[in-house]
Amino acid sequence: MSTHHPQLGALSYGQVDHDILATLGRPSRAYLAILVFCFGLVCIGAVSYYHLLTKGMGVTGLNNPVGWGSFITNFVFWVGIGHAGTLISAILFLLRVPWRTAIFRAAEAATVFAVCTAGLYPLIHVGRVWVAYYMIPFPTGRELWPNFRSPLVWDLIAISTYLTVSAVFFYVGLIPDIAAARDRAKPGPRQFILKLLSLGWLGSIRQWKHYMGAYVLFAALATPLVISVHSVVSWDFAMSVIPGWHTTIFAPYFVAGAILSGLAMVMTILIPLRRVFKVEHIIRPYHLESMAKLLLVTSLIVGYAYFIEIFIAWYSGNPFEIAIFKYRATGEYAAIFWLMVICNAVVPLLFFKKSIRTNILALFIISIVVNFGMWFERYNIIVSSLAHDFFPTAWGIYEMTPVEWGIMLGAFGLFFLLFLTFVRILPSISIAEVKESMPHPLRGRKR
Amino acid sequence: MSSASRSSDLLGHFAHVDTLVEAITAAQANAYEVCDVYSPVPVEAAQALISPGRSPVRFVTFAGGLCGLVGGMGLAIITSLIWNLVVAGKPITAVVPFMVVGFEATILIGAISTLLGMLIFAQLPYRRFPTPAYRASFSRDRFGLWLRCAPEQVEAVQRLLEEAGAEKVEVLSIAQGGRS
Repeated sequence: MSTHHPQLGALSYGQVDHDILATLGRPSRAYLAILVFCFGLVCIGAVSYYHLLTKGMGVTGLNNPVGWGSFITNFVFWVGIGHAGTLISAILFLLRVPWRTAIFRAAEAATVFAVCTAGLYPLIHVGRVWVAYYMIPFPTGRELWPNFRSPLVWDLIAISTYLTVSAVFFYVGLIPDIAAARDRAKPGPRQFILKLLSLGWLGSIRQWKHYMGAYVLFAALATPLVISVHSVVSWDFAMSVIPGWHTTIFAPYFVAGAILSGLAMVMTILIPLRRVFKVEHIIRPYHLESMAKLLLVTSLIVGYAYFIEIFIAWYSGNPFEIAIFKYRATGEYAAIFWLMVICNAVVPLLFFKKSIRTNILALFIISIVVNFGMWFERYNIIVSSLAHDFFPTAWGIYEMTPVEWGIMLGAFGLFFLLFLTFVRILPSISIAEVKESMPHPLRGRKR
Repeated sequence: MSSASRSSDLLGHFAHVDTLVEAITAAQANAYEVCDVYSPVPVEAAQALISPGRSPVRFVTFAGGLCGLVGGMGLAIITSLIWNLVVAGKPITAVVPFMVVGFEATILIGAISTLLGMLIFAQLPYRRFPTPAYRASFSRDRFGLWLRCAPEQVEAVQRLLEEAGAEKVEVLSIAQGGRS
């Protein structure tokens, strides 16, 4: 199915199998130290959340007029991070882009874990988490149903659909690789679990036929889904009348931003991963450079969106729209605004230079800068508009409290903890697809 | 005695795709039964010989997607009629916002149906794993061709596999009637 990958021609199937499965070997001390550090962050998050649960929402900085603060900022940020995986695994699969094969598994894992992390935030944000199930449409004696005209209900449906479809796509992609790990595992509990997870996969020609048939369909279903999810998230804002939110460009603007942040996060993860697991011959600078080019394109789209929303605010002649954009650039949150512009729309322009986008250290640093930038973007959009809406008498300032910082650190810890656990348990590079992207072994060709 | 009990099974191990395809073609030309082919990657040429045509999973996806669309739109419309409160001046049955619900349900049920369709047609979870002919090397870098023939044809099939380029040929001793 995949286009043959010229860069992997020198490897053999056996080598690919061996090198990727070697990543599941005994963990190094550095790995365990990072794992413990992430667990520590999760503990900080858990303690902070316990404090919030027992004391109430008053321990956060949320109040009038800013009722959506760090929790919704982080929710939108993590949903965005979850976009690169499906983009790389579904859209680039349908487009037969050869460089996706070595990196899509890690991107898909990042998607699933990022959406799981994102899903925690609305639950935290509602405060009384024990009644969060009211959001789910289910029949009760009260005959009370969610309001399906509300973007918040669309959001619930879109995010839960995205999580389900991404998780299914992720697992289906893993089946042949789990079978390969199963066949190489020593008899014992690990092999037993791999046997169960592989569903008895044999790699028979009939299995491959239905598997590949289904895989294309998953990709075809996931492609419009990935576009729709962040569009729906953007409508949480755009459907309101708040200045700075009520605009028709929000859907494409958010989708481009989501892909930008997702690509940056995948790059941030992959660069150390390829080094630690010694798979630099499989995840090559060529893959990272290709990602950098895509990141540059999405950065240009995001930069254009930044410009055009300011232009439309001016061109509309709407005093409230003009006021909010002046406020963003010069008010209390100006630092956040300018950091957002520099990190997302200026720094990635360095990728126009080939020597920078082929420099691994530069790629790593810029990807981290973009991650920060995208968080600033979410914060800028959400907080500044609420802090400075129509009535000067209602204006106010929001600041994150230590509890919110703690929960945010916990979420980052959780994401990396899940990812690090995954890379030790299951292949973080697709064995089957890397093999598939290589030329088939033929009698005349020495392998 | 059944016809299956009068047959023999052979397994050819191949290192190359072209030799595998050659062996399948020769086996089919001699009317030997191809029980199964194992491969670490999908091989379209082998698939075209053994199981031509497209997977029917797409029909399951279509049916699932259609059910999702009807179900999602139906859920939004019926529940809004049950609780017919006008919100923000929007109509009770607001088709445009409900399309979001219908769209997401189409994708969700379509994807779940695709998964079910794949599991059913690919016979997963495969209860009889491993089959008598499955070898661990078939998930690494080798291709396996499992043929069935009459006991008096064993030597001929063995020769056919070796001439096609099999690295190794095994005569399988299995409970008769067993197949993938």
